[in-house]
Amino acid sequence: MSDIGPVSGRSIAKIEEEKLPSRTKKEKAAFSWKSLRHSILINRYTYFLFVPVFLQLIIFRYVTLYGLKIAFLEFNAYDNFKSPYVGLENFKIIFNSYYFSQILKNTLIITGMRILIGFPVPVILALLLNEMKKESIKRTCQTFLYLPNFLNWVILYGIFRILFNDSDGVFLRIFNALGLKYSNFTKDPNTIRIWLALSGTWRGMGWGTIIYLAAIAGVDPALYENAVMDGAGKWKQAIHITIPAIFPIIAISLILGMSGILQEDFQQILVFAGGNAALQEKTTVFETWIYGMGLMRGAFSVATALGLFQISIGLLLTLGANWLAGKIGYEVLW
Amino acid sequence: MRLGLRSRIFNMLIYFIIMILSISCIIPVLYIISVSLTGYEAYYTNGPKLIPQDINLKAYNTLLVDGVKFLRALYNTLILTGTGVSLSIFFTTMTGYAMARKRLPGRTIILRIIYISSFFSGGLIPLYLLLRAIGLLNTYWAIILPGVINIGTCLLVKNYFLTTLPVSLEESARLNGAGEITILIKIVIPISMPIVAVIALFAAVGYWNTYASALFFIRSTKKYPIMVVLYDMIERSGMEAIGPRMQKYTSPSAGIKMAALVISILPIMCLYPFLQRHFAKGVMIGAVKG
Repeated sequence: MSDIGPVSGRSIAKIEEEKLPSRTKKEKAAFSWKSLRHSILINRYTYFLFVPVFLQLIIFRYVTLYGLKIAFLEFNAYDNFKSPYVGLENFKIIFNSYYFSQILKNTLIITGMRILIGFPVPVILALLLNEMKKESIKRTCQTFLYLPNFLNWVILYGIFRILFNDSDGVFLRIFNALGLKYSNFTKDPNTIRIWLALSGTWRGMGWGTIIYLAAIAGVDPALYENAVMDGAGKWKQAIHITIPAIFPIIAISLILGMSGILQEDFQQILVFAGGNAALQEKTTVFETWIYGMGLMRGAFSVATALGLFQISIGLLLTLGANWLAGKIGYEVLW
Repeated sequence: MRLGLRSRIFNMLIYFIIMILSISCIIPVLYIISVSLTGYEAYYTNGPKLIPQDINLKAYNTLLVDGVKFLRALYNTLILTGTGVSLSIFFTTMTGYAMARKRLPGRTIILRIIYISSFFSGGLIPLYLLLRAIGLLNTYWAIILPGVINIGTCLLVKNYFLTTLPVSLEESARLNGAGEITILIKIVIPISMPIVAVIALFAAVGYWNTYASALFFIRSTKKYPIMVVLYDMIERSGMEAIGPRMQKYTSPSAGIKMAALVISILPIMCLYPFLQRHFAKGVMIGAVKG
């Protein structure tokens, strides 16, 4: 589940650039069944070590994959065997639904904004951080910056409430002192989507710099020295050396991010809009709809059909992203 | 090296921007601490301030004495996190270590299967139905098990072992007559302590912050972990959290809500100094080494 663990499946591709070991010519020539058996014998215990992870994968991924079949049934939750096959009926219900276009719009807008606003910030921040020479200040700042990433949305929401409250917030008092009128934009249906993107960016910007900083650190310092000797200022250095050097990582992150466009961090949405009916219209995305329909109202088949739709599009996008990444010359998954 | 004026302004600007952003990350936390310590009347007259006025611990007092459900939720979360972290450490180290064994026949295929599988999933509803069929619904296993081995963390572990366990070490141990178990106990486990710490901290934060999974899979209010109860306190009346002895207020005051928040993030804030040092380094090593 995505709320456990700091690194989602998406960033695996970022982290894992290892070219899996290939055999040298000599080793290839020396292959024989006997040596294979010998290797397996020595390492037999190691295979057992893989059992837990495979169990987890099989049970929670492949079996649930099989469970997707109920998207094509009219699932009877009380007696599984009495579920008649209804083909694409559930899908028709979804696509014809009054809500579908609005929810699709919401999903695309919210994710789009998250990427648009949320993507450049960690990159730029990493570039800026890299320029900081004083280690002590840099490290303190980083410590602060990483903090919101470890706080869950419930906590952050509680904090935002105090800050942005209409009747009693910090910003209210500041605005009043300045003579300006204040309205709580975190609860306004018209601005909630931007707010989701902004707060999401704020939360993740510190942690997001880590990957980019690592990449920047890998750039050959000699390049910078040459540039300085040629009279290039910081700005030119950044544009002509740093950015091209970390471009592969940026591109991969961007592509992976975009391929996740239909599946998003919906915990934030659950928390921000969960109790608030007025916000629901503009913030319901596929996942929250699935939750509402499926777990709260029990329409399992329809909800699963929607999930299947979402997963297939997501898969297509991920495959496409992978192919694109391959074209940049970056071997990602296969 | 003489820095030109433009360079220096540029530099100062960079420091300024970063410091503003960093402070923006910490100020909200300071606010909730402050409000939790502010007296009831002072808060509702003057509003939330960075420095608490009329400091008293009344909010904490009321919460800890009367907040029956809150305390129970705290206890629940402790159990959930404790179990989850232990299992996570055990299985993730196991998997990461296995992934790091370079000479294993079929390793390529196994690794590929694992990576690819992490992109598939049946989705929420099939997972729910599966858990229901197995009978794990409404238990903490429903929260723990689906994510007990996080592939990203496994990668970190794998890279860690690849850098710290040279094959020569193992070979010389074997030459000296050590069996598999001895190698494991005398070599692998001591070396893996740092990465175990990283796994533990990641897992602890993850499980402590459980919200959505609990909403989905837990039915009985007695079993709710702390984030669920917190949300109820903040967003709704919060009667779920505070017991019936609160006759003074109709719903928890801001001070009490903030006290609850502070208590909830206390463990994370305590661990944070340790986290920060190891995490950033660990993730960076994992990312660069690849």
